[in-house]
Amino acid sequence: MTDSRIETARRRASYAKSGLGLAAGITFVVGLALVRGTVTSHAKARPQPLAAPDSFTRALRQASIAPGAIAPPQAPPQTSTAVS
Amino acid sequence: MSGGTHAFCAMGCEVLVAGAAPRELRQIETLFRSYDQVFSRFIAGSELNWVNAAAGAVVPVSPLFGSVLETALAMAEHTHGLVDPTVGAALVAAGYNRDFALIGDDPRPPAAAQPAGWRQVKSGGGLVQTGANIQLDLNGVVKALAVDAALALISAGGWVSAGGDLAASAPVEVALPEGGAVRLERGGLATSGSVKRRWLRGGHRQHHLIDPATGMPSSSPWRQVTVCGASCLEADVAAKACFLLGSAGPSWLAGRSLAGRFLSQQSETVTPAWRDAVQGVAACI
Repeated sequence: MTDSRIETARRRASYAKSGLGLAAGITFVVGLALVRGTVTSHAKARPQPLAAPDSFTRALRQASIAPGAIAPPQAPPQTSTAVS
Repeated sequence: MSGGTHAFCAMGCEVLVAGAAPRELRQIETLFRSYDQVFSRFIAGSELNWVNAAAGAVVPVSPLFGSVLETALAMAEHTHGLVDPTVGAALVAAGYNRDFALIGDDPRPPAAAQPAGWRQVKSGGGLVQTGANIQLDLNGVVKALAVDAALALISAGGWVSAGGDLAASAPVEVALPEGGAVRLERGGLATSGSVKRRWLRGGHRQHHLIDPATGMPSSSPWRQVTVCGASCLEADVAAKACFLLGSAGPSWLAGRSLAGRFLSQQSETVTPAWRDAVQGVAACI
């Protein structure tokens, strides 16, 4: 009888520990997500290198010196091309 | 195309951006400033200066540096070495050894010419090795690449100009050097020449467009060459190549069906593609 009560108490303690562990895990994950999403100084997304994307560079190289498209002017100039 | 025209200074020139959302504008400014930090010859801690200081050794480089250098080498190959990224030493020998605003006429003669040698540069896998005497100068492609990369950040139609080198995904009216105008429907428009960035050294006129064969400023008959290409990079590289080719420039450009306009002291020459496009007979596509 006494052993049975001790076993029951141990089981309840084990469930409680598991529950506490699970709650702590969930709290950690939710907290992390909130921090990532709301704290100003925390990166919201994976940093992107400031390089031209590979696909862009590849396209430039493959298209080596292809023509663009010009036409007669239709309005006053908005900008100019010049030696810089 | 949304919004007006936004202007800021970067890479030693004025940058104009049209059609970009506020967030895209911030990205574009960051892009230009980061390119400047990496590729300037006149910023002591730039990656370019670091690579040049280690000439002859194998050095690790950033993805951006490696990508731009490989593009520069590809353009050197495509132009048979006319637009060469290894003219850094020649520019210094000619006297272009500090920010252009600080260069004055110098009574001393130019230092010994330094022919270029892009084939001595190896790049790949995040590593670069140059010949021991090679000094890189990537200005031949960096500004145009920045313009193209900036245009790629604009989700709606727009255009970007840096010091007069343009790329557009929506039509823009563009004034031409010494008069005239065209409508750039899409692609790039760039002008190269010797009317700016020039100075006297030992009584001789110097400028920044180096003939890679001699290592000296080119004696091209052209004052300015304007080319329309599929991107700013292609237009800029073609304009430089045509300037350096001298009298052979118009036929080189015409052979590629590219539209170009050449100004010498006395005359204007245009390629058939330019003439047809600007007269409205056909677009240069």
